[in-house]
Amino acid sequence: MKKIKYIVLLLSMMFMSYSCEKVLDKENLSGLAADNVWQDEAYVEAYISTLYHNLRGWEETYSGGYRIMDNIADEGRTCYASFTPNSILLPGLLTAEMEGQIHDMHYWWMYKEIRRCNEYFENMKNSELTGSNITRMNAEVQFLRAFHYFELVKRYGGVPLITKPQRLGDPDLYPKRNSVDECFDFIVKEFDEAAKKFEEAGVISTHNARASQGAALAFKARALLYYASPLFNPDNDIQRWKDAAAAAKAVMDLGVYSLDPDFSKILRRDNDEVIFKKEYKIHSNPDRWHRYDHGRSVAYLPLSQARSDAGYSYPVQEFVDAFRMANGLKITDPASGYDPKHPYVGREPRFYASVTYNGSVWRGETIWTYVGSGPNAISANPWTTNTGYFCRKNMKEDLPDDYFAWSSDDTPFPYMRYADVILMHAEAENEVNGPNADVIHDIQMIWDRAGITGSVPTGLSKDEMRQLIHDERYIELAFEEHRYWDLRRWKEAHTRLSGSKFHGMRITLDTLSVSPLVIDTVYTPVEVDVFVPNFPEYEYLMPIPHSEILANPNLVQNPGW
Amino acid sequence: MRMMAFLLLLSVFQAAARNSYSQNVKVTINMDDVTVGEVLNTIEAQSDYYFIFNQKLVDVDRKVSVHAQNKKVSKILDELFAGTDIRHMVMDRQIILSPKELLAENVRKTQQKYVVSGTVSDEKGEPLPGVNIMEKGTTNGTISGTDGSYTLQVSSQDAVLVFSFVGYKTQEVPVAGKKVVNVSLQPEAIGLDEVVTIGYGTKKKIHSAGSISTVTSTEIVKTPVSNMKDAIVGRTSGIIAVTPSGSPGTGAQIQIRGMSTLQNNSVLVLVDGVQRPFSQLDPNEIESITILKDGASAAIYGVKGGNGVILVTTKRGKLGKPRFSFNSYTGIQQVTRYPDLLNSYQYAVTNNQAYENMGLDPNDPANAGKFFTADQLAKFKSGEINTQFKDLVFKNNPVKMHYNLNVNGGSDKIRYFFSGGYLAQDGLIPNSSFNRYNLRSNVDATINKYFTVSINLDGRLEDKDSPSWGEGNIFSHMVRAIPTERAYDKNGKPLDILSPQPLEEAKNGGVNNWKTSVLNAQMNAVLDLGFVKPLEGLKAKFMYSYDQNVVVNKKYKKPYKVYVPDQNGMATEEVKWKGGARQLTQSNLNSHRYTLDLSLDYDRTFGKHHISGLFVYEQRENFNTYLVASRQGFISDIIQELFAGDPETATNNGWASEGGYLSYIGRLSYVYANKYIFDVSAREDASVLFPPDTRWGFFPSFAVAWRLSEEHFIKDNLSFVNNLKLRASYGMLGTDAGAGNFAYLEQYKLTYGALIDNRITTGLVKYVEPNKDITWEKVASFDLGLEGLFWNGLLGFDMAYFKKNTSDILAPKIISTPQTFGANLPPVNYAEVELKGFEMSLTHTNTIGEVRYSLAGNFTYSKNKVLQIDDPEDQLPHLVRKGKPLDFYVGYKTDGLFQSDQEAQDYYPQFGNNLVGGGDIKYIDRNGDKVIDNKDLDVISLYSYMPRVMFGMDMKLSWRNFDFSALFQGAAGRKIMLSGPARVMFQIGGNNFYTYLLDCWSPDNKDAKYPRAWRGNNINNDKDSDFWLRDGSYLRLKNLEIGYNFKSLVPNVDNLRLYFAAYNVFTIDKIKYFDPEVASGSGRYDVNANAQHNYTTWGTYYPQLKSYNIGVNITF
Repeated sequence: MKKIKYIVLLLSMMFMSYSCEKVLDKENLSGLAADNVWQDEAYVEAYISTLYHNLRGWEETYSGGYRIMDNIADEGRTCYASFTPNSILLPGLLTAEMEGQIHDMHYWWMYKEIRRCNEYFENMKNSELTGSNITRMNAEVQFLRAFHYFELVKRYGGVPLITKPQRLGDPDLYPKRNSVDECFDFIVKEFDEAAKKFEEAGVISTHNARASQGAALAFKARALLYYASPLFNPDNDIQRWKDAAAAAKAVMDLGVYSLDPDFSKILRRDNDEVIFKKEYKIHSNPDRWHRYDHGRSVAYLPLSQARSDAGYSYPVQEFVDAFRMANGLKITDPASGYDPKHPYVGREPRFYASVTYNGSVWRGETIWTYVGSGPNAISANPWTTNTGYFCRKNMKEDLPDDYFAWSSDDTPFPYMRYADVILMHAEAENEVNGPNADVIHDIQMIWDRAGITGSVPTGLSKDEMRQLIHDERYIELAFEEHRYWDLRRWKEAHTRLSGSKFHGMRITLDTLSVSPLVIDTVYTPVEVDVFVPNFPEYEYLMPIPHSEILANPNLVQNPGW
Repeated sequence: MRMMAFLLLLSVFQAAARNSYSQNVKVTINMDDVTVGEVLNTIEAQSDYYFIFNQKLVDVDRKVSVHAQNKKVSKILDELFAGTDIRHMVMDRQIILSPKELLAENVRKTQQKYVVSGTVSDEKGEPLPGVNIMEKGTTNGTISGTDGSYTLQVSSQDAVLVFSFVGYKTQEVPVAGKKVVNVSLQPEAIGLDEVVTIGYGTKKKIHSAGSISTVTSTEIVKTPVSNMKDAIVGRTSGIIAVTPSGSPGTGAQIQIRGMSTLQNNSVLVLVDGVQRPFSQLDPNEIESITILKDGASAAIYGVKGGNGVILVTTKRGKLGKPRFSFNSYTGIQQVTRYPDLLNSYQYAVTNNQAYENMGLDPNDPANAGKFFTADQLAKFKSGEINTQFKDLVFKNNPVKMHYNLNVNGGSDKIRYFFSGGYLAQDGLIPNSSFNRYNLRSNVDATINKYFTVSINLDGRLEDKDSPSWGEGNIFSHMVRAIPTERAYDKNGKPLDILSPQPLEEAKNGGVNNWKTSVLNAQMNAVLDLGFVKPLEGLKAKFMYSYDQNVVVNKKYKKPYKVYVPDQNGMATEEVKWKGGARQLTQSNLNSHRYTLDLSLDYDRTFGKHHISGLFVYEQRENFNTYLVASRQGFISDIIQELFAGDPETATNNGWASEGGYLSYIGRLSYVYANKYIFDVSAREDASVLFPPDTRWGFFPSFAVAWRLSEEHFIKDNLSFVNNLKLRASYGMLGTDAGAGNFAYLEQYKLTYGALIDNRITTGLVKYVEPNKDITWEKVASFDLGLEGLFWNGLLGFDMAYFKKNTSDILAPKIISTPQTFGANLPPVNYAEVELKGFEMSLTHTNTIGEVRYSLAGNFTYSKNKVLQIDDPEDQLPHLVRKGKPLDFYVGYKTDGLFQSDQEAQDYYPQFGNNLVGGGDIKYIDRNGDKVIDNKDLDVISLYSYMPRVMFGMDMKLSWRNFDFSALFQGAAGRKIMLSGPARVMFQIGGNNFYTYLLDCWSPDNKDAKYPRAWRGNNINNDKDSDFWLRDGSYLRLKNLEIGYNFKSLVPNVDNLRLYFAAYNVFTIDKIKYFDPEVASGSGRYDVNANAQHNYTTWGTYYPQLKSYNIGVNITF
């Protein structure tokens, strides 16, 4: 009897193992299988959404808020001057091994995004999804892949063209570099194809952060302009300028874009000027940064309003001096009416929309930067302006009152504006035919919108017109990440960005006074750079990250690195 | 199915229970047409009588009717058995029913019980309480009292008594008709009878062939710490540990014998045989902690045991009357060491000097804002303005206390251990504390001769507070804040200043609270299959445990108030709020886990042959869910619950995960004549992290040992040798720790999408590129050891050489795969690391007169080396990792400071910097290219912050009623890199820093220890170099305890001891300014032991603490 009881007990213990195979039947509860993704339009749409999200606009920074490229050319300087990457890029100390310190180098070598595009095409081959939405998405991915390849070529020259996702262990894991010509051919062809598909899908232009036929054509024009520029066109093959001019013209001929009448509000509202952009939200939670919050930081504002540091980017004197007078004359022209004792009077309207200076008003506060004036005074304190200016362009003035230190506003980042297309057309056309009526008409459009009362001078030589167009790009496209790259493609960086320190304006009052407006004010330019800027010629092509050269014996480093 | 089996087991327990009821002798019964048996049952139910009878002789199925109102039982029985030959006899509470001719015989047999009493004493005649006294061959027994006396009723005068007590030889004494049996127990040669916990069981220590060390309960309770990991540091060889933070409730980082893989070096911990953490158990609940160090001992844990195993055994009930034990201590805590920060005058003077060094003219009005004026300097010097943030933030002597009350005891059927504990630890800064409530119930029931069941219940609540700003931020702000600003006015009101206000942040910035509640329930059942003769020695075991963890984290952040000061530095009416919006973030992590073990255990001795074997089937599953939600827009701080926030700001998120393991485990062990020991074990494990065809791993191990002390050539010639054992083992283990999340599948996850038309869209990305061949990391472990005990404990030693080879280490091949590949790389099995080392422990126990003392020392040396890793060809020498340890320092070699500007200008250019001058660090041109740049980087130390050598020394001494113990612990072969404010003045635009940097170079101070003053990160001097590398060796008095026992003064108390205990008393080291256990000079708050050093830039560490405590132990 008793023994039976024990045997029952023993058997009951054994029942436990009954469910054992289920123990190993486990899933990744937050994962989606590949089969589910590529047969479902909503998931494919989400996949593309992330591709857009990964583009970088204002957030091209290493701690959130300021753009490096604004501060290493001749536009502005930053409080992070003594920090990498500025302290390395500005004095020309970059080496290929420094990839850990140049926080962006891993992004510059952006094959991650290219692979995502390649995987899209690979997977969509086997997908049964069709329709105009799919055509549009195909166009978007093709556009984005070309966009990334252009960003690569603009930095490194020829790069490996990879159009299929590689598999681990494949021999093609170690690609060689394609030539510059092959790369530009590919990019142009891709933008063309994307433009056709967009047209098929009926997406001619957009007002949101999506690409369109117009965007594809405009980026094609930009690629062709770079290809025609001295950096990539040392023999000055005129056909390339012709192609660039024609490509820009094609965008203009679409007839869907126009200049916004108010220069200071281009990015602040929906208009037909912004061709491709990235959107942002206002950062509203000091405890948690959101992915969509990394727009323009309030640390660009004057110290009295920044609520913490105020030195993310402050314009240099050279930039301020580049603005014309409202009559269209340069300040160096004796007829311009420029008065060095009142340097901020009578300048063209874009100046007032781009720079906050001594005595200008921002958010209802008069900003004083003269020595001894208070928090906004020019200072060697790295956490405010060292030049006496603050950046105003594209900043949001009507911020909600409860913004906090390191907040950011919701200004979109403009990858492509119609003004750029017009200037591209003018630049290329001038190279092909000299300063003809088309060129003058282009520039006049820009001046008219800017509020310059004068007319674009006629009778200039081709070289003079080229200089005028370069200056125009400096002003019109400032702080939108063009200047540094323009100087490079014109091969002007090693002269413009080497040898002497850049300046700020130290403003002092002659006597103690109640208001600086009535008292004699003394303007003294002062050097602001910590290091002497230097742009070695080998820097015209960026170094391929050293680790990449080590990992791939087939890659040849750019000369000089 | 599982439930079903559970119910079956429960029903078996019930069948075995029968007990006494009320004391009523008279009963009332009204029953018609029932059996005699039912009537007897009814009587048993109403009284506390029970019946003894033979069913063959008493017909209990006979139908009867009984009507009795409040009648005596004997009357009812007379009536019940009227007309039969059955008579009854009442004896105490038993009623014997028997045919009248047999009644007398039965009564005589029952009356034969025999009472024996006596006293048990030790070898010196002192009474020995707590000795276990059993009647041989039965479960009948008792325990000697405080005076050593006992009384036991045995079955006959021929019974044999068995006396046993830990540390004494077990004695068997025949009663042989005596009424009084006095016994004197002889001490066991130390440790020989000791039983050690091994994987899935226990073993006599002399029969073990593994490298095992044990920390006992008496040692564990000696260290007054809030985390059990700290309690074992220094107490045994083979433990490599550092305690980098003094945050309440946190403990040491422990590695067994050192690092041997790239990914995860965490140790497997099992409490009562189930994988679960031990760091928050109450020390008084713990019986012992066993560390399995060699591969063969740990191999029984297969896939999880690769980095060593810690087995924790909790206390259980012992036979005898209840023994209560109350233990408590209260103490104050202090910072072990923290460097001073500059006062306002020092700050201002150094600031001015720094700007001058940078080439600024103090007389130029444009530089006016940078230099402190003479007026200001005077105010600082007089102390009128001097804010010492460290003094503000650090609390004075925060208190720690601990209480525990437990009881254990039991009868031969049920034994119990119940324990309740409370720990309260106040932190060093406001809103930093740790409270813990522990409750445990361990019950063992002997159901009958063949079947025992144990239930363990462990419940606890951990309640940790820290400032919502984060402890790291508070300490970093404390270092950053500038002393030249007046942070508080004379009335103590906080003022609006440029610096952060660390005290306000901590005190008024909101609290981050974690409540961790744990419920572990476990049942063990053992069925001895000895009821079938041929299966004698074989046991079937069942273990099921269910663990649930719930972590509720509530972080309420709120702005703190500061006043705008007037010109005199007094608060005005104007108020500012700092720190952003009010926000509550609440999360809930739920973890469920069960473990089921079914095992067969065989253990039997045949003459000189001892054979034991084990087979286990084990399955485990877990399921975790996480939910987080937040709201802002609270209009007041009174209600800190989500509903009180603004619904418009509500956010939430969550995830879930699940896992499963299946294992088959086997072990065979053979011992011949206690002399030759052979062990073989093997485990087959499956993990769901691997694809089905590479999911199973097989992990065998072998161990042999030879007890030389049992050989005649030693026994006969060297009689002082009590034990001498030579052992060797080899084991294969595995780990899946680096396997990632289903890395073998092509999977996508939802993520952030773009913002389009001001609307956030959903995004999607692929996880890693799948690795379809992914499988186990393998650890091959070899151990050779010698242990011995001489002169009855005057010398004991245990030494071991070990070598561990980890291969197929899982890591993504990031370095050798070009980034043009473009995808996130999966872990691949390829790397290989070797770990070698030596460890030794020595013990000495002796008694001189009335003084008993013991000394125990331990020493561990271990060194790892990377054999195979993802190093590309042509890699820069300092970045090559093959042939180097897993963790090392890369930096520049230096040659002191330049002694003049001229010397600096004449030297090679350093980092393209034209501002190098006298008082800056001079670097050595390693590659000879006459330029100092990053090509001169080199390996500057092969040591890391994890020490290569650890040692400990434990001393115990007792004299009469006094006792004394001291534990020294130390580390060597360890380097620390100063960083952040530990080497940079005025970081980030003017942060404060540590005073030792004031010994900075100037033309008047050319022998300075540190470079010249500079504002902010000087690109020449702020570089990892041997200039900033420090020797991290140390020796510290970890623990000191002095006690006195008052038991003789108080009646009815077995033990009443008062003691004083101090923790982290003093330290001898070379770092001087910081506690040497800090991970890097600026203090890394949390440490990720990785080859890539990654410091935080600010001083963000929670300083280590020392404590002084008084305590009491009472046993009654």
